[in-house]
Amino acid sequence: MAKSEDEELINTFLNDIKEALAKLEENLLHLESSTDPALVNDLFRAAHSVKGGASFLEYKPVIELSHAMEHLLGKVRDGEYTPRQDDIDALLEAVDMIKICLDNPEMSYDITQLKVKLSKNFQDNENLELKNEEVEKKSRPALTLAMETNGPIHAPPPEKNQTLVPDRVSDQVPDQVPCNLPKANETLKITVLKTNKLVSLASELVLARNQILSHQQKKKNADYGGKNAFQNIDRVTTEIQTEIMGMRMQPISIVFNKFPRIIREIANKINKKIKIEIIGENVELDKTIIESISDPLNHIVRNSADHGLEAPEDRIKNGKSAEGKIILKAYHAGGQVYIEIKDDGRGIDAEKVINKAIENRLLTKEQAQTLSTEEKLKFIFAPGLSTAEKVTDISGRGVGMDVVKTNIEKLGGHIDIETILGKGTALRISLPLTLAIISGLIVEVDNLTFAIPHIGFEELLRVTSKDYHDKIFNVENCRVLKVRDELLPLVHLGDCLSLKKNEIKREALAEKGPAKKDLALTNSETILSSIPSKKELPTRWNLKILIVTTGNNKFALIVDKIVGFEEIIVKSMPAHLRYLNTYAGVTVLGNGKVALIIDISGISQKNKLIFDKIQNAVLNFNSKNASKGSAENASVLIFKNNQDKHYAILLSLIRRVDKIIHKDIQTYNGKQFINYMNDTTRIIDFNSSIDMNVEGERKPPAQCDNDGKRLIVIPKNLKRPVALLIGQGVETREIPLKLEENGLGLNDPFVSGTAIIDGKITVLLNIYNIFEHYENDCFSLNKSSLKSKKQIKILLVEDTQLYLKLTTDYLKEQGHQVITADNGKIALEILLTGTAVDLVITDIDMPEMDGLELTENIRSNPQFKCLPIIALTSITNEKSIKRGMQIGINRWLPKNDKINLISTINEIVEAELCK
Amino acid sequence: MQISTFRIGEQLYGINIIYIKEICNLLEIFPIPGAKKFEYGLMNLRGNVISVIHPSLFTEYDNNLLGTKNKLLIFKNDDYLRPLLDIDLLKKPMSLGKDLIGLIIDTISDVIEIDDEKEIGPLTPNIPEKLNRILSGVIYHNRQLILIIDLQKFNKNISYIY
Repeated sequence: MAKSEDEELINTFLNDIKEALAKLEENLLHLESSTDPALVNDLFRAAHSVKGGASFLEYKPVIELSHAMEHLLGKVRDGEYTPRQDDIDALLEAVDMIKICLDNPEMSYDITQLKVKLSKNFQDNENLELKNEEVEKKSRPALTLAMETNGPIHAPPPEKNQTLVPDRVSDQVPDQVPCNLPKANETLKITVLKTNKLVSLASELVLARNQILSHQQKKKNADYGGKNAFQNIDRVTTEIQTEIMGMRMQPISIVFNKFPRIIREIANKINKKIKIEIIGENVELDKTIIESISDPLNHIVRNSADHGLEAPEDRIKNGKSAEGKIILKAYHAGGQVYIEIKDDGRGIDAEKVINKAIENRLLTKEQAQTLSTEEKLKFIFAPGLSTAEKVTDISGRGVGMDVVKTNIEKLGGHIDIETILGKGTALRISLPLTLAIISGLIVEVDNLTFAIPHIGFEELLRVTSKDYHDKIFNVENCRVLKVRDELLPLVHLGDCLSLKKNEIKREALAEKGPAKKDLALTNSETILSSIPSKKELPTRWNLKILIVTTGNNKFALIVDKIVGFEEIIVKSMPAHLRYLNTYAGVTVLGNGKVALIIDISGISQKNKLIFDKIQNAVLNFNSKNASKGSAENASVLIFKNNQDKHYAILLSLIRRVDKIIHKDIQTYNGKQFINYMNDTTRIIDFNSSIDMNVEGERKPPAQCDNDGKRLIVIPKNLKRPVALLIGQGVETREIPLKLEENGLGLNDPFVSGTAIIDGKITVLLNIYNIFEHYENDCFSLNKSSLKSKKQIKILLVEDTQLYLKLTTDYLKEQGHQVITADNGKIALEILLTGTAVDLVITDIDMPEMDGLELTENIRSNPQFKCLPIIALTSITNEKSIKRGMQIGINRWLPKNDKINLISTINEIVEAELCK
Repeated sequence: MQISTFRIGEQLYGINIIYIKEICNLLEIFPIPGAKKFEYGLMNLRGNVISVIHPSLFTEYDNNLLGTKNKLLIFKNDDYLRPLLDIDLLKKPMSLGKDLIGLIIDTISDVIEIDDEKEIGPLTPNIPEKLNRILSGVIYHNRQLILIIDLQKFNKNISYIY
């Protein structure tokens, strides 16, 4: 290689060559299927760039190889020759060889054989030699580093990075090419060091901006001009920051694009047919993250190809297509980037994993028996555990998934695994977008300020003294928060950080005296003590709670004060404080305060014992509760009609409740309409039309509010805008649903049942039927498509009478035959007595035998191995769902979603799973 | 070389002035929940975060150290040390880490000139272990005993102690 003094220049050329090589590699694969002129031109130019770069470096083997490549591609471009499979192989081989040459320029290489391979299919070696001389001649091309990026179009096409080889390009590239060159690809190379400096400067700028911002907020009557100027600064700063951060962002295609090649090679080597599908290659990530994710991804993909996918004959035997499929998918979600690697192979056998772990003495047999399938699978990430039964050169080389996992966690990411035996495996990696500036929630605890990364938390909520007893429970001496249907461990952030354990007295702090002594939640001692009785509750007890997640853990943190969101610059923790794993870093806020950035996963780890305890307690609590009998609650909307009769609608069926002005309602053809959100919405007046059915006599039209405002209810899943006009006294309430067993409205299609709420008889309306009655076909799926082609026999297991009735109605409406059972035990008996059914729909939480146990029992009987099971439940936590799926539940559906349930049943019927 | 001297309680300490970035007033210090006793907190000095160390690291003296007279002695980090290395002001290459670290002191005292390191005497065995770990020697100056702090030892101590 030339001993140029200008090392930087050499590096530039090397980079150019490498870029061109990457392009070659990518496009060569496409050449297999098409000889599109644009593609061939691209390839030709890339080969040409390599040659140009190599001739500058006077690196002979590379010049010769690239020249041979260029020559072959030139023939293809000119339409003189159609490439064959072995040509492409040779070209790829040449790309590899050049790579090797570049990595070790000191070695000498024999490339004659390869050169022959490249030209053996057409006999004009003479021409090749001639061109070779030309190369020598041009070995010191005029180099121009043009910084101008928008030069005139008729100029010779600028190569990447403005490296121009003028004479050469113009005599070799056809005239029409310049127009095809994408201008946007022109790049300017900047060292990472410089961008890093820019990033940190931008961070300082953001900081200064924030300081002005908080200053500005303090003095409210700042002069107009100043405000204007500041707004400008504010906007520009944000833009500068985004742009600079954007400079470091690179599309994930850089990593993804090499996989088609890798897969192709592996497939050839191990005689499998593999198709790779890449989705979301434009998703951008920080350069540093892109670089570090390459190896782990490589490992995972190779694993999938080698071990995940079965041999073609096995696949056919298992009823799959011979061609295996690997899907690489990148997407944004919740401020993070997710990468999924999915294959449709044989899946991972958790038992095999655990046996290997036992073999390697990672745990004992006894310990293994207590683990769930999910926990067993996690051992795949344990050090030194390769599940490959035989080690090949493609994967399973001892460095295993543990390295992958540590590398990903180093980047602040997570990896999860999901597998279904016989169906395939999916690995999901989540990664932060960038590392330096993050959006954070600023909170206060004991007058200390902390920042919580936005990524980590899900929602904020407030628990007032009024609903304290409805939301916060004491489960086996642990505090839990009830959010919707989930119970979460509840801890005070101060306890998590062992606040107050600092020994040096802080005079400044002591004076202000945290007035939270009465807030019994702040101390670790009291967190485990029992909940105070109602009398002890201070009236001003208002808890601010954040719900945060990390990996699979979800918990609730109490803070004293929520200050707001701020873009914060992450500064690393001083080295001597790194042992505190509850902090991810430090930051200086706009008001000049120093805030520690909370590391949610650190907190979760530190408080693992408490959390585990709570989690167990919650589990126990749930199971105990279930055995007590149906304690299912449902939220309902309660309202009164003209006659002061009470009605209720299940809240889960309602999309929206809104106020309208009565006089806006117009009547056409005896039907009432209103312009609501720019839609002509059909109005069904509850009092004048539906009431009649219930009461049996017509009532005068409803009275309006004093100001003429009325309420409308819009149900979910509507295809056309229809609303129900209802009476007054609307409130929502969570009530235990227990249907009264009496004759009231028993055969009325509009009524689901009655219940006593606050001592009043309340009629629970079946709004599907009401809407269908007045506005035929108004729901998203029309009846004809909903109607099953085939009627089947369904076993419905549900302990709550209301749901049992509701669901039975839906199903019967569809013409299915329904057998009901109050709990799993009864259901199992029905099945075992030989009653043939085509489908089981079961609740999960039930007395005697719950849905999961029922499923296990059903699946353990070979007779019912293929009996489809749908879980219809209000349980939505992932763990239960995963477990359910693992033990053999086919679908997991929420309650009250009629449309979904019916379409799922149809799907199952059509897929003939029932057979 | 020049030794900057300062007092914590009655005791006089000294440190090579070349390692001192600046001496400033104590601003608001933000405590670090869960940290060790001597890891007193973090301070914002013109946008930089200073890790504030309490003298309880090496002395039992624990009077109120947060008076208005108290100062913070801020040591250089590698970024400030590098120019000195470049012009060969330091005898041997050394590293003070990337962080800015400050020590709370009572009062700042004189800067004294000593002839190289010859004047620095050995440590006497009656010095408590805690203190011994961060010192390089003692100087007798104007009939006063000055304990010379070795910054590298100091840094090592805050990282690995206990």
